[in-house]
Amino acid sequence: MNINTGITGEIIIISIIQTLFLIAVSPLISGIIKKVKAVCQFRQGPPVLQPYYDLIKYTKKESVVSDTASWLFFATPYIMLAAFSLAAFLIPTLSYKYSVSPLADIILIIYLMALARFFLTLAAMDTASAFGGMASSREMMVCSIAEPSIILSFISIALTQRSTNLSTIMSSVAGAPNIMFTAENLFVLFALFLIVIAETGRVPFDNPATHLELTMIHEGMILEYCGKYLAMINLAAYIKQAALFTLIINIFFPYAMMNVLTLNAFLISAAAYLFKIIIFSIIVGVFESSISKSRLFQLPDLIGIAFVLALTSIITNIVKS
Amino acid sequence: MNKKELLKIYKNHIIETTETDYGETYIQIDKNDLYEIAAEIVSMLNGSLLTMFCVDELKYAQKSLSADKKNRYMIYYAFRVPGVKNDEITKELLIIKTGVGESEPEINSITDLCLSANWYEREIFDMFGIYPHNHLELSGLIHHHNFPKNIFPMRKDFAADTKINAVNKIETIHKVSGGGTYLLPVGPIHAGIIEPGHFKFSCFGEHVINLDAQLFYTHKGIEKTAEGMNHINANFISERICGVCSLSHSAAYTQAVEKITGAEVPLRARTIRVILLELERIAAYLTDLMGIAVDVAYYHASTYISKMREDILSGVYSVLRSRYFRSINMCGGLRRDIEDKSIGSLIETALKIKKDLAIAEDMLYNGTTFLERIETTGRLFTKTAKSLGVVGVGARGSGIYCDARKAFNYEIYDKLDFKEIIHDKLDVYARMCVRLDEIKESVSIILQCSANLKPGPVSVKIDKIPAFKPAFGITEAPKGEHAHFLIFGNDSNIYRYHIRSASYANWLALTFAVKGDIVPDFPVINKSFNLCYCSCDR
Repeated sequence: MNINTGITGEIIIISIIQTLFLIAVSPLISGIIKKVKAVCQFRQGPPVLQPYYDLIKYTKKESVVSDTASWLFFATPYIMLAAFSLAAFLIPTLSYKYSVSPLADIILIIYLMALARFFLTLAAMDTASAFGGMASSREMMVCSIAEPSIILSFISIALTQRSTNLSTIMSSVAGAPNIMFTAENLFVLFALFLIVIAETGRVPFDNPATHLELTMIHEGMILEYCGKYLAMINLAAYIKQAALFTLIINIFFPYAMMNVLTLNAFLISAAAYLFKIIIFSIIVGVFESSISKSRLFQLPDLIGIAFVLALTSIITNIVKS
Repeated sequence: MNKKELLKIYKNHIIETTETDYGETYIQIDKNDLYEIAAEIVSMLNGSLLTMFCVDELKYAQKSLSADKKNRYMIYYAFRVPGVKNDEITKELLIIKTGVGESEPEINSITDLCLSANWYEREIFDMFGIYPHNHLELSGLIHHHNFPKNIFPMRKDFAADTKINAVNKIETIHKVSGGGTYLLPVGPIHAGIIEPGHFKFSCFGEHVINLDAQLFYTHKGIEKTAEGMNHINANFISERICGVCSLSHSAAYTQAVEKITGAEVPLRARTIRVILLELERIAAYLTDLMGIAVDVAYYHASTYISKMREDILSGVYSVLRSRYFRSINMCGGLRRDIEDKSIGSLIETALKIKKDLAIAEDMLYNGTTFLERIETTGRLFTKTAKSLGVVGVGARGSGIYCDARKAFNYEIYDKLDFKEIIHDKLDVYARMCVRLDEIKESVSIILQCSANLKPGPVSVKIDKIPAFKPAFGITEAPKGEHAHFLIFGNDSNIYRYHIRSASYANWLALTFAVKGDIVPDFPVINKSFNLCYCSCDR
C-alpha cells in the first residue's frame, strides 16, 4: 500500500527541530507558572530556570529502588518519555506546513498520552507502596472522565474544520482568523482549558506543590522514583504539559507560524510561540493562585463541566449545519 | 446537687478532705469506692475529667501513709465541677485520690464513665504498672510493642539513666476486614517537617472507617527529669515542653508554684504576662490558620497570614530576644521588667495584626472554593467532644464552653472584658471562625492590659516551699487548656511534676472527627485541630 502523505526529508528535519524546541522549552513553562504563583503569594519564588536545575540535579543523584520493583518500574520512565516525545513530534509547534502531523491525527496523540498514563499507574502499584496504589486509583477516576471530554472536544473541532488532522485544522483556522471565536468553539476552548488543567495535575484537581501524601494524585504515583528515573518522569510530565498547552494555543491562535523555509521565519515563529506559551502559562498560574484545591469527589463534577461544554458545542454545531 | 452536698452524702467513705485556699478540694477515698463516687461526680455534679495521674509515694517520708506500702501509689482524678456561680463557664477543681498498694497494683477503670480516662489509665499502666480493670481498649500507649515488659519508668525506684533494650516483637494492628477495605499506614516519618506519628487508616475506598494513631515516639522524660529539680531550673524545663506554647506551659508551671507558696505576684508582672500570653496565642492561631489554607492549596491566603505571624514573632524577638517567649517568666513574676517603650512596640504589633486580620478574613471568608473545602469537613459532634474531654479550639468549635481563662480566672483575666467564643458548626470552618474571632478578642485584651499598666515591681522572692502540698496550674494555651500538677518534697525540690498538655486531651478527638470523611481531607482536619506531638512526649 502506498499512501502519499507528502512527507519529505525537510519536513522531517523541521519536525525534529520543533520537537527538540518544545522539549527544551517545556521545563521553562513550569518555571514560569511557579514564578507567577509566587508573585501572587507575595513571595519572591524560585528562579524561572529552577526546573532545569532540578532536572540536572536529579540526573546526578543515585537511584534507590525498592527490592520488590519489577521491570515495569524501570521501563515506565522510558515509555513515558518516548510516548510524550512522540506526541510532541506529532503536534505542530512552530509550523503546521512543515509538520509530520498528516501521519497521525489527534486521536493518536490522545492515546499516546493514555499509554504513558497506563504504565505510570501500573508502575505506581508495582512497588506496593500504600500511596502509589491510592494515587493510581485516583488518577484513573479523574482520567476516566477527562478522556471522553477531550475526545468530545476534538470531535466538535473536527465538525467545524471537517478534519481530525492537526495541520489541516491549524491551516484552516489561520486562513480564517475569526472562525474559532464562535460560540461553539469558545465552549471547546473552556472545555479544553479545564481538561488541560486536570491532565497536568494542577490546582484545583491536584496540587503539584504539596508534601501531603494523602492528598496526592500525580505526585503520589511518582513518590517511589528518585535520581535519573525521577528526572525522566519529570521531563516527561513537562513535555506533556507543553504539548497540551501547545495544542490549545496552536489550534485557537495559529498565528505567526513558519510557512516558508527561512531562518527569519523560524526565528519569528519561535518568538511568537514563546510569547503565546508564556501568556498562557501566566493565565494558568493566576488561575491556580486564585482558587483552592477541590474535594476529591468533586473533581468528576469539574470535569463534568468540561464534558457538558464539549457536548453543547457539538449540539450547537449540528444545529447550525 | 453541688459539691458540698455530694461530700456530705459520701461522708463515711471519705478518708480525708483537704480544702485549699486556691479553690482545689482534695478528697481521699478507698479504691473500692472510687468508681461509685466518680460516677456521681460525672452524672450528678456534671463534672468532667481534667486529668488523671499517679504519684509514687515511696519516698513520702514524713507521712505514715506509705510506710506500710499499702498506699504506695496515689492516683489522682482531677474533675472540673461547676463553681460557686453554677453556670456553664466558671469551674472549680474537685480532686479525688485513692491509694493503691504495692502488692495489688490494680484500679477500677472509669473509661465507661468518661472516655477521656482512656489515655490516662493506659499511661499509668505503662509508667507505673497499675492495671486498670475493665478498661475498654488496654494496649501500650507510651510503650510500643518493642518495649520490654515489667519496666515502669516513673516509679521512684527506677533510675532515670537505666538503659532499656528493645525487644523483638511484631506490632499488632487493629484491622477492618471485608471486601474493598484496606489498611493505609502513614508515617511515623512524614514528608513535611513534623514530628513522628504513625497513623493507621482503615479505609473503604476513599472513606476513613477507623483511624488508629500511634504517637509517643520521642519520649523526652521531662517529668522524670524534673523530679529532684529546684523550682528555678524546672521553669526552664517547662518552657521547653513545646515550642508553640512555651509561655503557656511556663505560666502553668509558675501558677502551680505560686499557689503552693502563696506568693503574691505583683500586678505589673501579671499584666505583662497576659500581654505576652495573648501575643503567643495570636501567633499560634495564625500558624493554624495558615496550615488550614496550605492544606487545601489556598496559598494566596496562607502566605499572607504567615507574614502576619512573622510580624509578631520578630516584634517579640526585638523585645524579649526570644522568638518563642522564653526566659521571661519565672516563679513569682518576671525575670526582668519590660520598659514601657518596648511594651509600646508590642502594642503596635498587635494593632498591625488587627488591621491585617481584616484583609486575611476577607481572603478566608470570601474564598468560595476554600469555604467549600472546609465546610462540613471533619465534624466533631458535641456529645463526642464532651465525653472525650476535648479542650481548646476543638471544643469551642463544637459548641462547648471550656476557656480556662474564664473557667479558672488566673492572672488578671477576671478583670478583663472579653467574650468566650463558641461556634456550633462542628467542622473545620467552625474551628477557623473561633480562631479568627479569638484573635480579635486577644487584641482587645492586649489593649486593655496596656491601658491599665502601671509602674511597679515585677517579681517577689520565693523562699520557702511547703513540702507535699499539691497544686494545679491551669492555663488556656493556643492549643487548649494545659494542666500542670506539682508536689514539692521536703528538700524544696520537685517530688512529682505531671503535665497534661491540651493536645494530650485532644488527640482522640481527631480520630473521631475524621470518621466518615475521605482520606485526602485528613490533612486539613488534622490542621484544624493542630495537635502537638512533643507536648505529649514529655
